[in-house]
Amino acid sequence: MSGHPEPSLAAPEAAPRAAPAGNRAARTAVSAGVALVLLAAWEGIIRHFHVPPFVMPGPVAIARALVADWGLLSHALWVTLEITGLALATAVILGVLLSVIMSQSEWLESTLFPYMVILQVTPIIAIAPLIILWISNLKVGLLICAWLIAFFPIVANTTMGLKSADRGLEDLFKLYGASRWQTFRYMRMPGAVPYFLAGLRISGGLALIGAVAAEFVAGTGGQGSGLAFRILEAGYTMNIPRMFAALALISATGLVIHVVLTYVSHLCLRRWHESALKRER
Amino acid sequence: MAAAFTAPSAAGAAPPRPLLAMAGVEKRFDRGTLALSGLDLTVEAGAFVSLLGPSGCGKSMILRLMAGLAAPTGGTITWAGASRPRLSFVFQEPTLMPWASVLDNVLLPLKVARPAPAAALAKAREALAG
Repeated sequence: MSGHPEPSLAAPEAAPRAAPAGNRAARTAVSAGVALVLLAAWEGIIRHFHVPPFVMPGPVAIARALVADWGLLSHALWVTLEITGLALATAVILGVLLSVIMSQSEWLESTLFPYMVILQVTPIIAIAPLIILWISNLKVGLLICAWLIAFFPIVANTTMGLKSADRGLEDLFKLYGASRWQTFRYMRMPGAVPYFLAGLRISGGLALIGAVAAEFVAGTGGQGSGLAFRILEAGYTMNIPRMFAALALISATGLVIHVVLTYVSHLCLRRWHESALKRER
Repeated sequence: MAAAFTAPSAAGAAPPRPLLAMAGVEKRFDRGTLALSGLDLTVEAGAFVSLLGPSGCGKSMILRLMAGLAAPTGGTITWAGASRPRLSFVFQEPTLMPWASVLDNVLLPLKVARPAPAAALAKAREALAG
C-alpha cells in the first residue's frame, strides 16, 4: 500500500475481466467440438451401414451437393431471403404502427386485437393456397403469407410494451405537465423497445418459416423459385443430397437471422436493460 | 381513514390566507373502496407539515391529490393562487428512466417545459456538477 493505492485498486478489476474471455473461448470450443462429433457420428453411421444417399445422405454428400449445385441453390436462397426480409420489414413497420394506434385507447385495442389473434391462430398452410390463388403476382402472394405470420409477435409484444410504462414515471411526466406526445416520445417508446425486440426475434424466424411454407404451397418453379421449391423438386427427382443441402441452407439462414437479431437486441439494450446487464458479483 | 396534522403557523402573526385548503375531500376508487373521506387540511405558506399515520391510511393519496396526480371524488382542494403552483414531488419509488443517461434524466423536466435547449443543457450540467 504505502502511499500507492493504485495497484490494489487495479488488481480486482483485471481478474474478473480475464475470466469471462477465457470462459467464452472454452464454451465456443466445446460447442464446436460437440457439433463436429455429431457430424462425424452421422457420417460414420451412414458409411458403416452402407446407407444409400437417396435414403439418407451423410454430411459429406450434402456438402458436395451444396458445392456442386451452388449456382442453383444460391439463387433460390436469395429468392427466399428476399421474401423473408421484405415480410419482416413490412411486419415491423405495420406492426409498430398498429401497436401505437392500439396503445392509444383500450377501446381501439379491444376492437382490433381479436382480428390479430384470428390471423395468428389460422394456420398459414390452410390459407396460403387461397392467398396464392387470389394474388396474381406470386411474389406479392408469398410476401403476404410470410408477413401474416411474422406480424403478430411484433404487434402483441410492442402493444404490451407501450402499455407497460412504469407507474412512477407516468406520475412524474404528469407532474411535469408533459404533453401526450412528449410522454410517448420520452417514456412509452423507449420503455417499449425491449418488448419490441423480443417480438422481433420471434418474428425473424417466423418470417422465414412463412416464406418457406408459402413457397411449398405455391410450388412454382422457374425464375421465382426459392429454397422450398428446390426441396420439392429434389424430392421428385430423388436428388436427396440436394434436398438436404437446401434444407441446410434454410436452417443456416434461420440461425443467421436469430444471431443477427439477438446481436441487434444486445446493442440496443446492453446499457440499461436487466436482460442485457451483467450482474456485478 | 385519514390522519392529518397541520403545523401551527408562526405564533402571533396574523393568519394569512392558507396556501392550500382541502375541505371535505373524499377519494373513492373505481371499484368502490373508500380511500379517504372527510379530510380537512390547510397549509400556510412557509409551514412544515408532516402527515403521520399507519401504512395504507391514505398519506400518499393525500399527496397525490395535492399534486393533481389523482382527482378527488368529493370535497374541494383550493390553492391560494387559484391554480396549482409548480410542485416538486419525491416519489416513494425511484423514478428514473433506465434507458436514458444521467444527463438526460436531469434534462427531462427542462425538455418537457420547452425552454431554449442550450440554456437547459447548461442548467442540467450545472446541477450535476454541484
